[in-house]
Amino acid sequence: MRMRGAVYSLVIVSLALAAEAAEGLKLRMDAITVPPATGPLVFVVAHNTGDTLYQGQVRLAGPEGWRLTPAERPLELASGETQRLAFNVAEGRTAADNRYEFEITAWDGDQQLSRQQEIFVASAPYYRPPIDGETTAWSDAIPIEFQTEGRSTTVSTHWSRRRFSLLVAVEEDRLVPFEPGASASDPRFDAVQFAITPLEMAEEGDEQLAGRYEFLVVADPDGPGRCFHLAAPDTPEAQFLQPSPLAPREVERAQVAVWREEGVTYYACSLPFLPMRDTVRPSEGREFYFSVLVHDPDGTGIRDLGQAAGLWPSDEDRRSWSRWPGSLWPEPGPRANRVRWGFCSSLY
Amino acid sequence: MSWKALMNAVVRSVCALALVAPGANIAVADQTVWQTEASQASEPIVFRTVLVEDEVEAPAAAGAAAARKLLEALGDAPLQAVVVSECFEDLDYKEELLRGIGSVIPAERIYGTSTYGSFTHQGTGGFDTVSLLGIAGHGIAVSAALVTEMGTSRLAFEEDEPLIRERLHAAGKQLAEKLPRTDQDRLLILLADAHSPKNQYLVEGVQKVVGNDFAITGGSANRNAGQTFVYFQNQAHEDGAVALMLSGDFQLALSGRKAMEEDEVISSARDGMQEALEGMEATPLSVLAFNCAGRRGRLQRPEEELDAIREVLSEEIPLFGLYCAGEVGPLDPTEAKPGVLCGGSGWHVMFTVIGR
Repeated sequence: MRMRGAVYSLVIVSLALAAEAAEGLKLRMDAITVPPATGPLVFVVAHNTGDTLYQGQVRLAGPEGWRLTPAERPLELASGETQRLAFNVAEGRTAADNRYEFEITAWDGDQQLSRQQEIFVASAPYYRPPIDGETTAWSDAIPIEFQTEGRSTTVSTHWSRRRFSLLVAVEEDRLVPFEPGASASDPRFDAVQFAITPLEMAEEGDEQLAGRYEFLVVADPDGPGRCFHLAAPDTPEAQFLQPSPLAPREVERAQVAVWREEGVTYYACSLPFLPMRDTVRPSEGREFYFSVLVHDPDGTGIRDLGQAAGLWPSDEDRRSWSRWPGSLWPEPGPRANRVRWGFCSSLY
Repeated sequence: MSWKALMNAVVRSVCALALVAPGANIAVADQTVWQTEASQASEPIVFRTVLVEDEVEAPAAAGAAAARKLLEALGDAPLQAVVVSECFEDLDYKEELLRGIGSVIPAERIYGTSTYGSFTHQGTGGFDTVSLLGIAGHGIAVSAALVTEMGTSRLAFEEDEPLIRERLHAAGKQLAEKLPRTDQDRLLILLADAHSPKNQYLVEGVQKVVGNDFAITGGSANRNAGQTFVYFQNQAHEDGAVALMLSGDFQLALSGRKAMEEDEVISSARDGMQEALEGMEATPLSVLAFNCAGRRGRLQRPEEELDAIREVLSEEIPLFGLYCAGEVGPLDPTEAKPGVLCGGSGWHVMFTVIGR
């Protein structure tokens, strides 16, 4: 089974995922949450790690043929402050490979910092693909491909008012299915872990609670696959950081299929939106935080979408992901689960 | 008895609940064109809106309830036409909803589109809500036309723009040519399966017939897979467009604003509403607001934009708001073309104040 061959043959390479200036200014871009042709906004994230006020300008240059307005914006950042600066895509075109190269330039007097970053459109088009062990119905998704130790991972999402759907294609030598008896000290099976975080909870939530919906998808030697619930917004930190048995936490009405094809493991999952609908509020243009970890303990280890998206390491990282029996967490661990994501209309 | 009167009598007997003004399809052979009798300047014009949410997954009941509520609100004013904005998910639910509306209101009066939601003075409605605009009174006349098979619903703008332009120019022209015209024509409402930026080409096609200075407003249908429909005489059509021409002795004031960030979305709605109201030299009868669903998506609380509108719009003036996949009306100054009153775009809120 092939999915958009042109897309999958290309590789997203971050030229400078987390740019940090000697003078203490960090710059990066957020993912684009709406297809470029609809004239979205793109955002530069700036953080002042220095001890003094930063006052300068930021200029953003997009891919060839793009026009951004304004061309530059003033930036005033107190010590320790982070800001998102919006630039309007007055003219932009969708790239078949979902790769967009930007150059961010900031200057303060004669001090100039310039960084390049490749970003992607992180958006779930409206659709309810069947979870049937086929990838054909996913052809109108906006796949994001990234590399970990030379192995490809591709993430696609869809939404409807009733379901959230995810397809993760993992290039790997073998698939190790779920083992209920696995322990943290003896990681044995492959999995895809993902988190959905309402923006409000990320910004205003109780730090002692998970503030997110988090799930784990695994292959099942006796069935099409299984999906477990790892955390809900009100799950206490002590609980989600402590591995506990997965079997009792199976998601009701989840549709799952995990299968292998031509050296790639496919994890397809569709979840009912109802338990999340009041906080995530699925509708066109809504944004939320999302991220995916691929657990490949006998191969690349953890593959992190957040790292591919250029997120900076932060204090939030450790609490961003639930522990579960059989999971292996290297140091440094994965980035926070905070890739800005959007719900968009169907592509046509 | 004339054929028109005969048809109206049939309609009245079938649907005794609805007090309807005379109206008929133009020709038996063409069921895609319809009009009411000409307006009479001395007669009243009445607009009313309702918003109903289906909380029990019973779309037919919700449709019937909305229709009954609308007729009650219209009172003795004879109904000319109803515009439907609904966001039920999937065709089976939508058809059930239409069946419910059609159980109360004659099918020939029912036009509209699937949207991403609606808003009125009552509030904003997203999931499984229907909003109806009732146009009534002998002081206003309505004609309607439908085109289908425009041939653009599965074309991507970036890959097929020349073909889209050609087809939508043709469809827009055909649609406008179908509409029966009078010297009392004031406002064309365009509802189409042509989301932004395709909608601009459909508008240009219409303008080839009605002219660049004619007032046009409207919105693009929900573009999501399996949700894209326009409604003509209570039937759902894909890949199509509906035009409603409102005629009579009334005045218009239009405004359009574009915004993509939360604060600007809210302030632009307030400013646009204010501008349109200030432009109305008569007593406002109703406000139509075709708004971008993407703008709504930028808001943590969609009600905040509605609150901003209500800061300047009296509750006495019925508001019919739709969240669309593209908007038609006066483009934001950053996009407007000189000498052209209206266009099609995205990220806009388009206000039309109808007054007398």
